[in-house]
Amino acid sequence: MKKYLATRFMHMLITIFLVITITFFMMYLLPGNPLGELVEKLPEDVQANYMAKHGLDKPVYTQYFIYLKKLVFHGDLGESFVNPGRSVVSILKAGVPVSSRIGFQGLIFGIPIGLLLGILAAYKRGKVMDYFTMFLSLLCVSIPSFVLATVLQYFFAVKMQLFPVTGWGSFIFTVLPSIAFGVRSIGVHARYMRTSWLDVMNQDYVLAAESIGFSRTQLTFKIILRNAMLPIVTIIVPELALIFTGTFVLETIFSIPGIGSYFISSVTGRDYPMIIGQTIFIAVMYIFAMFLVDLLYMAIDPRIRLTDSK
Amino acid sequence: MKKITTIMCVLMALLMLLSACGQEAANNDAVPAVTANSGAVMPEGDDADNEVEATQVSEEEIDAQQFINYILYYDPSVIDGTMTNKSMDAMIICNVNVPLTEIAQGTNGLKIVGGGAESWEVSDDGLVYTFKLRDFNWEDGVKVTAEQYAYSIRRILDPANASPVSYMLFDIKNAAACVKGEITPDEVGIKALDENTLEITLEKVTPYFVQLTYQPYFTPTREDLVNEWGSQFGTSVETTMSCGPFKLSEWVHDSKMTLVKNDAYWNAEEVKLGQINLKLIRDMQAMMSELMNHTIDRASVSVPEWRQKLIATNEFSYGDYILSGTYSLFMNTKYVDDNGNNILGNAKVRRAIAACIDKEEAAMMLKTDMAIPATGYVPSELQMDGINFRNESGYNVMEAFAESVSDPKALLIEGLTELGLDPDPSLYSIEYLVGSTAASSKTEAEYFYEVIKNNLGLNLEVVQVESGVARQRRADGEFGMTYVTSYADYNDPSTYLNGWATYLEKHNTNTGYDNVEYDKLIDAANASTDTAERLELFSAAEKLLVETDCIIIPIYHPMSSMMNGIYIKGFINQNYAATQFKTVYTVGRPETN
Repeated sequence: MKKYLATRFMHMLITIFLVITITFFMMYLLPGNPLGELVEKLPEDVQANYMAKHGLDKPVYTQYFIYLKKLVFHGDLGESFVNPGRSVVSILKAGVPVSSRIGFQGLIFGIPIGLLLGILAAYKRGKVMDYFTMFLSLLCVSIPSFVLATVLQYFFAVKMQLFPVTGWGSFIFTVLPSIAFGVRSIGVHARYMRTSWLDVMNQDYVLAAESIGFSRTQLTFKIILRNAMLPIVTIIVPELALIFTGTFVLETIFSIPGIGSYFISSVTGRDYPMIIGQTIFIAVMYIFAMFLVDLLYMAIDPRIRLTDSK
Repeated sequence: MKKITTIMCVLMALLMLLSACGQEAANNDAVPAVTANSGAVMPEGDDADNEVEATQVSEEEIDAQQFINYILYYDPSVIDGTMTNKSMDAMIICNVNVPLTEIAQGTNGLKIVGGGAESWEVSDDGLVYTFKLRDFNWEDGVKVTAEQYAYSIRRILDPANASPVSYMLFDIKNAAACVKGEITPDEVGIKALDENTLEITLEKVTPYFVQLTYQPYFTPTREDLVNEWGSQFGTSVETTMSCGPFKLSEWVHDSKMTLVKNDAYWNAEEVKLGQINLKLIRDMQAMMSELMNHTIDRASVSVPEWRQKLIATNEFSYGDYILSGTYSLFMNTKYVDDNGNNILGNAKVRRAIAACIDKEEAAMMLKTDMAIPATGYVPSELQMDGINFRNESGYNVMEAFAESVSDPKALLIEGLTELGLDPDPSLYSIEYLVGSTAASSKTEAEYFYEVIKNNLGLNLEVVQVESGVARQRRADGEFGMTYVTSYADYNDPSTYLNGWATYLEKHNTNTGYDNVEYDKLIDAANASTDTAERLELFSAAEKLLVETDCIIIPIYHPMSSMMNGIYIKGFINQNYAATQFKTVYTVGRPETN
């Protein structure tokens, strides 16, 4: 087990290092620089001063090593060019909890409903309920989040004035964005759960357990659920990881101070420290999530544990 | 199965409970209709007859609670007049800090009045400006001094700071040399003669200099606080010090900002607003919805459908005004198409292209009623020495072309023949660079494609790239034709015309323009102090650009419609200085919770 953990950890580090390197050089391939439209107004000397101040006048390789040194030895992701005085870490610290709150609430709203719908569809397979829930699931996945967000905003905030139109603050501000975010999960999980549940339901060992004398409840929760959850776990954990990245569209429509808008604005604004900082952040989150998935698999499914120790 | 149904019912119940915790519906009483006030406002220079309008409001009329909900279009980067050129930042800076001068509503239009400075005078040779400051303090009690104003300027020009506004100060003596590192900031032409007297020396006579003094870079900066707060200066409530009508009380990045009245302000009795709530709203639809619901009190409305919708409610007053900007097409005289032909190198070809575009139709198609067709490259609202440039010059590019060119296609064929090329226009294609990936930009490009195809038979090859990439290409001259909307940096034609002098090392849009005549006219205009002479010289220069040599095809001047709830009074409609809140008050704001 220890050996497994150690090798996994090494792999993760190498992956993160590769991500940083590739992003760094890709970023510098983009024409343009952080000055943006100021390039047209500022005389050459002022631009040169600006470049020198931010260390952009050095060759790319030198900048790369300086950046790595700062990151590894000081844990410093640098300061944003576009927002002077604010470190990348502080911007992430401010935006990530906001984005993740919406994502988290959305998933808490969407996943249970989706799973329940899936199970319902599995039991009522072939009947009207099945077709209805699958149609609902299709709708949830097909409706683009910005359409749903705008519709929700229009009816519940502008017309009925039950919720604020935009902004961030108390719980009430989080309701509409969370719903808009979570609806897609309903669709995804309903379909996956239905397939998985049906698959497990028809296995021989379930029939065997039933004939042995397991009660209905025991059958559902101990046997079918545990087996059906495996594929779901594969989707849920990365889904959880990606909520930290926020959704640009929802955050724009509801004017939420999350991290999502920075992903796009930092690239168009050529805010180099911000771009890499965010990329590292998502990469770490995602890689860690995948690692968690593997661990969870081992916890849920004894078969994987056994084969591994051989 | 029963269990599942129960669980689902519980979930549904929870959902309903959540929605019940919503806001109560806002109670928007129907407010009696008020005639909308509209009309372009033109800023004028110093005018003895132009008295500042006295606000005639009796104490009973105004609301008990004076506050306003306003929009932040993006999170301000830093509240420091020396280190930012963004308009939202400028808005906050000019309300928590005090520039040397300010814009006020006069009876005949706008006028410049004293801000931090009580009065000022110019030396006889026009090179030395002396400002007499009034006595007032920062909120912590420290006196505002001339040295602090001088420090701001030196801070901007210090090359180590790489300030994005340094280029605006090059009229000050030695400013350009300082930025290059040739001299130290102490040798720049700004000096505090004593605590209340500031002396500024210019490089050469600059008639519009006072127009620069109401901008955020002419606000005072506390050197002691810069040293104390370092790179955090102006990035949070704790690291911002104010001496203006308002002060920062809250700043949640990317979300909102709150300003409250500063009781230590020298003119605090005149300030009626107690609080300004600034909300960051990114989405246009959300912005318009909030304006409709009065959760936002004032916004610029450019979408025609929303404009009609809001006006129809009779709850809004609005001012439509023409911005000091021009949307123009540019032609690259050095452009060579795939077959090696340089048709844009011939003036007749360019003039034919310019003549075939109907500016009125274009303005209508591209902007519906939010733009007026361009009368020239210099915007119709721009002033020069206190007079309206366009009116006084009398030149109108649309009329000029209507008179001189009756058949654009024939002119095109003439030009092609002159070049010794096949006179069939359909053989040639010009690359049209679009600096935006938005769908609307594509539609705009398609319009010009159609017009040029139908009227001249020429092909436009539309190339859409991201704005940063387009900027680079324009500077490198890698385009055939392109478009740019440019706005005035300050109130004088030189902001538009200086940039085309051929001896400049770098051009924002590299059209390969090369005409010594033009350079002579510009240099003479900038050296002259005589208004009539400058008018003649600038007009002649403009004519070269848009008609004779025809590098630029001005299409329209954009308009803006600032709408606010009719209960909002006191905003000054102008687009040169930052939005001021100290003159604003509310009368009869509808009850909301």
